[in-house]
Amino acid sequence: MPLNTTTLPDFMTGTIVQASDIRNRLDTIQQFLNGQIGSSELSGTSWVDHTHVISPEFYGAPSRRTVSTSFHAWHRRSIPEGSSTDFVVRHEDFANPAFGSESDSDFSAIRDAAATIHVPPIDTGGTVGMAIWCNWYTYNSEGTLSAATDLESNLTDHIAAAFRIFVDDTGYTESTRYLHATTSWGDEAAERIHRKDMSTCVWIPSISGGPHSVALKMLVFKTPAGVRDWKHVWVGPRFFEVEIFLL
Amino acid sequence: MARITLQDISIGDAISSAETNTTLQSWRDQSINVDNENVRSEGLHRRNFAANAVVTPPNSNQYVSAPLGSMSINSATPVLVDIAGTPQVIGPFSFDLTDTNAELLVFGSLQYRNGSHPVGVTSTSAGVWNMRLCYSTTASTGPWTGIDETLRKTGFGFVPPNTIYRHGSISWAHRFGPIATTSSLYFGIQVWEPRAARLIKIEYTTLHAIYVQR
Repeated sequence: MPLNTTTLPDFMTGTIVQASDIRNRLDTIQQFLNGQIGSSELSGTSWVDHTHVISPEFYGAPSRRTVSTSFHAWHRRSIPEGSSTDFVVRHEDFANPAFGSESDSDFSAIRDAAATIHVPPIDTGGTVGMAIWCNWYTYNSEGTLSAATDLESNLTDHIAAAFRIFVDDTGYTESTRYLHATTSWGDEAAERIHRKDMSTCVWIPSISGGPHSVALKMLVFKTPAGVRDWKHVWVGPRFFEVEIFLL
Repeated sequence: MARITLQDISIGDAISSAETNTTLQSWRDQSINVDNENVRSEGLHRRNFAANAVVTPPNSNQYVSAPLGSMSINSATPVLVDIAGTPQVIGPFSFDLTDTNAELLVFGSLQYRNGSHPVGVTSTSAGVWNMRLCYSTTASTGPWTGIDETLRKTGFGFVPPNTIYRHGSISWAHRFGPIATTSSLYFGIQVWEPRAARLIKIEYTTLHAIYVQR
């Protein structure tokens, strides 16, 4: 509410000043100070710094998160490597698509690599950006192996699983990571080495206010008949973080 | 700071309309200059602030990604990653060397594959692929300067006489600085293999930066 000649007018010379005239003006000033200072009354030169805003708050298990005025973060992780009880395993028996035929609906979330977050209401003209991070340890086991001489054109024979970041069931293709099948030494013409440690990140320039589901999801590819059977795909120690920035 | 000047009124004095109006005018003039000296610490929520009162990040291309396509690289010198005709470059950002309250954070990730060696490769002829973030203070087309502390190397063991196929991912999180003050700062990703022995494919890349003002 601005204080101007309409809301806070001058006394007119020659006019009898009533008590109500004074009282009304005092009420206007009181209301101004007590909650009606609007954005147009603030100085146009940047002056807000960290001393004027609310201190961040930290929350522990079961939903580890940090909440501050312009930055929120959610953190998930598995227990340290060495404990088999916290591994996630998916089996090729329940696989669905062949490599190259996958869609977002084929993926499923990985425990301790997912979070339900809440984005605060967004000011007019403002945006909320979101960054998602994860790294994890993965490999496949117990499979049989057959050789393919031309690896690049036979990826279907070698890619055991795929990983991708999802927000509200929409996959971000640029975050995709493929797990190459484990090699079996000794009698193969083409040996393969795959990396067990994987990482990915994605930036979403604008996310709407309200609740959102964010997750690292995976799928196991169905093997071509008679070529390769990778049996089990394991996901071990993993780290997952979601950050939002009120811009 | 908005500072109101009140005209004194003492008991027994005649009330002057000119003096009281001076007080009212002071309220009107100063009520549009509320700033940090009028506000108590930790008393405000961000939602009270309009865009003109909050430091905003620079308006720039903050994010680039490659959900489709790949780039094959077989070069002994650094090559800028460009996938399906889209250089993986972000910017321009501003960097103020004297601003101790600002930080520029750069993040990236990619998947690599292929790069198989033929039969007969030895330990001295096997390739080691280098990957790093780079920056330019001139244009989105370079010239580029490598950020040495972000160098990642991926080398591969081999079992001769067999071929080896490789597949993996790399990510970066880097706090950038210091360099001279500039308003034309760009970031990209470079890949090369010093022996130019074998090809590698780069795909599924993401690159973004966040300008944080404290």
